[in-house]
Amino acid sequence: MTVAENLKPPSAQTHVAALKATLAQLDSVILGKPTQIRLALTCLLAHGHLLIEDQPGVGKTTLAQALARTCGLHFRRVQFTADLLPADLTGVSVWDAGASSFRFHEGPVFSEILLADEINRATPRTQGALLEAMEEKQVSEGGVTRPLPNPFFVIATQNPAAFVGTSPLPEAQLDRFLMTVTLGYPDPRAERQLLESGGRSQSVRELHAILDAATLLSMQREVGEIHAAAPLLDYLQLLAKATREHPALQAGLSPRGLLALLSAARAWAYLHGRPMVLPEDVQAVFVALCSHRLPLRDPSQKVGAVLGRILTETAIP
Amino acid sequence: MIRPTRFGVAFLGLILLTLIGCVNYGLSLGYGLTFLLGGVWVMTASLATRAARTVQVTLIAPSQATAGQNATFTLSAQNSGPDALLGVAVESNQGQTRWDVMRVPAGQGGTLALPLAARVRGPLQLTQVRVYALDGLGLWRAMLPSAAVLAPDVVGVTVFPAPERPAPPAPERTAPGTAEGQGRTKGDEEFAGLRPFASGDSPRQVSWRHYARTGTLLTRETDSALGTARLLDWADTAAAGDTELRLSRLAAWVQELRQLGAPFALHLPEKTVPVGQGEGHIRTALTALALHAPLPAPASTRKAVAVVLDTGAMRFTLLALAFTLLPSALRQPAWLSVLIALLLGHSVARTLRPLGSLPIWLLGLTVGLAGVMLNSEYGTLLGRDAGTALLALLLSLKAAESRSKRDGHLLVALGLFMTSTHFFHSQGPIAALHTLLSAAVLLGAAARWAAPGQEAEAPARTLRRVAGLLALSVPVALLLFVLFPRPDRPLWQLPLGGQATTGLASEIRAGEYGALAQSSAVAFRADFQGEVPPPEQRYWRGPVYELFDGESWQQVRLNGRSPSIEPGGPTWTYTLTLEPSDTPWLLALDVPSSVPQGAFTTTAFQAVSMRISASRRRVALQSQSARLGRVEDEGRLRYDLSLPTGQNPRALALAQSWMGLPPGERVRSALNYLGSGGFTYTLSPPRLPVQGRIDAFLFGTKQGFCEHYASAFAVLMRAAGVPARIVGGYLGGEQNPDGGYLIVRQQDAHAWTEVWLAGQGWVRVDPTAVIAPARINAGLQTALTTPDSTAAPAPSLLQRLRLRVDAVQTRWNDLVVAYDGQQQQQLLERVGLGGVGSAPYLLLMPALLLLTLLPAFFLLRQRAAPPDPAARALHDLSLRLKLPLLPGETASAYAERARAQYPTLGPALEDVVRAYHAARYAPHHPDSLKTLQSALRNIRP
Repeated sequence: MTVAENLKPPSAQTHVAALKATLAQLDSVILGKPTQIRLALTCLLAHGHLLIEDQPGVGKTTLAQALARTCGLHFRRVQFTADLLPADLTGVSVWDAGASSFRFHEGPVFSEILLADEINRATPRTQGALLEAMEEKQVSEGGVTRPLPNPFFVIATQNPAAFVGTSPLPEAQLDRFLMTVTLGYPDPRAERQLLESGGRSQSVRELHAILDAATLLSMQREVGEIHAAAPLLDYLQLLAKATREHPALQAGLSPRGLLALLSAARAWAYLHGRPMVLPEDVQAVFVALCSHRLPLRDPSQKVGAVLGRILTETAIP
Repeated sequence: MIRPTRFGVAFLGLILLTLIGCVNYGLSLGYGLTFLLGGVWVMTASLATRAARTVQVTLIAPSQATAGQNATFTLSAQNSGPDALLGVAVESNQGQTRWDVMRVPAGQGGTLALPLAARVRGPLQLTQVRVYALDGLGLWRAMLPSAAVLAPDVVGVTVFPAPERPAPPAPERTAPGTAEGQGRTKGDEEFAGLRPFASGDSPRQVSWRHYARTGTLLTRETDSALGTARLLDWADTAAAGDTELRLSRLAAWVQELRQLGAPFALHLPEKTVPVGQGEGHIRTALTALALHAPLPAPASTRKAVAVVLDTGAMRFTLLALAFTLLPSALRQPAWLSVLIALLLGHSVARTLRPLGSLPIWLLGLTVGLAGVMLNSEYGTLLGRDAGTALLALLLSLKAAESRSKRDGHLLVALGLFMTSTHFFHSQGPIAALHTLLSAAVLLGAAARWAAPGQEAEAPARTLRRVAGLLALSVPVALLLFVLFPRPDRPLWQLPLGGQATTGLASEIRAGEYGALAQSSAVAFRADFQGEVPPPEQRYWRGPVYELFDGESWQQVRLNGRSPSIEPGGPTWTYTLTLEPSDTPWLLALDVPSSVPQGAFTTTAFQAVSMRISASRRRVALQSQSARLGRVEDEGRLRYDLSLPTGQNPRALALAQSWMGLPPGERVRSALNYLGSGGFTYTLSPPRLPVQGRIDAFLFGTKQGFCEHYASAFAVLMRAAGVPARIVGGYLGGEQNPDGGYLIVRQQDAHAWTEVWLAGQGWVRVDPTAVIAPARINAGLQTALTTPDSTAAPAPSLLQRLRLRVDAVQTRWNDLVVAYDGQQQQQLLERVGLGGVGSAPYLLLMPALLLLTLLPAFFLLRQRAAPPDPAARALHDLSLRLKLPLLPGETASAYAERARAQYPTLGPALEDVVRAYHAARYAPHHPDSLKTLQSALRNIRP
């Protein structure tokens, strides 16, 4: 019996058990990606949105679907193309002759988990509409403001920016995403398992919900109460300072980015059943959180490597 | 690579200078100070070396710069060790050099802005960048290894020409080919061409017609007309003037168009920048302007940089100096102290508000006047007192005209030298403490000068750091103090200057001893091996006076046969610690039987050393009661019967009346006469006439002290035909219960007589004992109040306290102050090292030196311990496991690594990590720290 476990309220105990079951189920579907799964769930718990940057076919959609089903959330998917219009996303008012009034047809954005596939294919206008919805958690159409469901979680995927015919997201909009995750190829063992099981879509469809929206909301509330001690806040500030002074980075972590780092670290700690944030929680989410926020001076370098070096060089106070 | 700074060289010079001074004047404590400073010198070198190993710097060029302004380069430093001080020297190709100092806190990073003047357009590069790690005091600088300085080969920036201000508006000229919408830019207005399909292209853009015809996917591209672009032409600026002014005008136009956000093209004689817009385009244009040939040469005017006095460091230095000079105020004339205080006060005021410094002529005048006054005061300017007074004055004058860092360093060095001069006057424990404190604050001042104002730290922190440095230097200083060869004789003899000492004189005049009796100054201390002789035997034999001219008794040198000595009775072995005096006399207990080397016994049984010692000295002696001079030179005996003729007729007549008695009875009669004649013992007797003093005393005043009685008795004896002489010296001594030694003070000075009786030789007769027996048994104070008392009263509390202090001082003097070549030799022989030059000494000395540096070496290798108790506990654990914590390593990761090395500790380490997390990162819980500590106790590697 540790001090840590004593501090938890009873509801949190059941939540921890539920989260463990969730993770176990997700791990069984998406093979060999435990870190990414946890980061995705962290993102969900921290009220953030997730950006997956990877090639097609590595399991982005599967991750999103599995997450949605396991969490018992309503899921929709939009393929972003160059001709996708904002209205295709948010919905449109059409004339209803019977009621002789405009009726609003909700777009795909009115879902609890939205998978925005290949977001950098769309025009900046459409991207802007999505990002506005993500930020405001509401949609304004025809002078009426309609709130989006709660929870509202966007998983956007984007191809690496070098591909032709893409409009890369501007930095300010990238900031709306809490984390970037790269899935990458599965490791040989997981890949073999995948091959042997003969595709995974079947199993994704068979998943049952472990959480529901209400539970998730109360979990999100509890995440905000995770304790962050003074030395941990010192550590966050040191990290921010290190990014701001690092010669390889054009700009450092903004205060908003720092707040995001704290809430992500809180969610990660919550996910691992801890009542307080530890430096390893911060380290776990740091690269995913910063890689899309911190532009490099020299594009040929790898941002992950630079951030990793910052982590190993910044002393934990 | 490490080398001393200029201040460091001066500091070394100071050490050598004080060392020479100590050798010359035999100042034992001075050696201590010198070696302490030497230790600091070595320790700071290791500090600088260490800092050079833990610091890594990165040099970053500014993104842009404009001529006439500063281009601010940035130096970013990361420090994985304790606090470090970095010195940065850069040189630009535009002829500017800069020296800056930055402090990088322990385990953190820091940045330093290096604003360099961008004097002219064109490339501004740092041609030379040197980064040094400095020690805290600025004595050393260690160059950072090149791997620790991250910078491109050439760190530089292109300096754009300064825009002309105010400039005429840019001419309304359109760039050729853009007027009619001929320029195109990416857009969606008109079809521009086809390109191969790329995945992600919208199907709407695909040219299906082309696909149907050829089977290849092509994507349509569209664009839109570029708006009217302006042309900035070199030819339009002819009115501006020379090349530079024309470029300035173009730069101003570029800025104007940047404000408007308008596209433009730039035409220069040798370069053309095509139409474009946006920040990138503006950069290209300005770069073209900046690099337009021919590049101007930077004006080589070397502007004198205004030196800003670091007021904080100056104030610190002045206060340190004031503290250092404090003891001199007790010695030098009051007017000098006031003058120095005024000068220092003015200097302090100068650091607080902008006051003009004192004019040089005034300072010069002050030196001249004060020099004259000092000369009249001391009779010289070179002696010890005059010299130190002059040095103090010069120091305060230097402070008054100090305006730079170099002056500050000079003040510190002079202050340290001044500190060592105090040892001329006192080497007591308090003086030593004062010196230590002065050295600490002066070194603190040096630390303040090393780090400039904005990088300075709190004074308390500086002093703490200096104290740590001194503590590190103590072992090496102690070792050198004990083992460093101590020459016995000075390198060359220097005048010490007159020093008034009280003590026995070479002749006895009226009132001589009365004056001495007022002084409680210590004459010497005697430390006995074994028992201390009883009070009535504590006669310390000094000069023997045999020539009486009616007024004074004087010593004489009589050639003749040496008298015989027949020892018998107990032997006393003891060590005398003699305070400085102007005489070579060794005050041996009556009578000396063995004297140390360099001393001899006179024919009057007085122990005399070969040289006069101006400093405190220790001699080992042996005494034994003996029959003296049973066989005595006839000439001497005759001499000891002579009296001045025609004086003291009544005394002579009295003595004649005893002539019929045997010599022994004559002595007894004289003593009886004194004992029953109504004589009193007093220190303030009435004045006696020059002629017939003895008559006047014996038959008139009848008041006096030892000197009077001894003199009268000797005269009576000589007149009665018994050879007699006066022996001067000390009687008694206070036994210190704390140290077991005797303290003999000047007030214990005494005079007694010796008479020669056939068959017995010289016999001591103390006539004072008849008048005031207490003088012999109890001491002077008792003798004055109760002359008949036989023992001294018990010492009062105050006296006992004084004795205790004296005991401490004596131990100090024996161990520290009197430590010289002789004692060193004895010590070395006792530990079996032979002597200073012997082979074991030469072998052992370097080994011991290395040993004393070892703790400092280990201490310096350690990282700074964190202040938080939980974090410190983990840090301590890492030391215990000999597995250092990495900077970005979490407790769990560390435990993982430790478990790999110590597999048995797994569960215990888990407990520690859990407890650590609870103590460090959980909401505060009172027991968490205890849990952590008990978990840590379970770890036994």
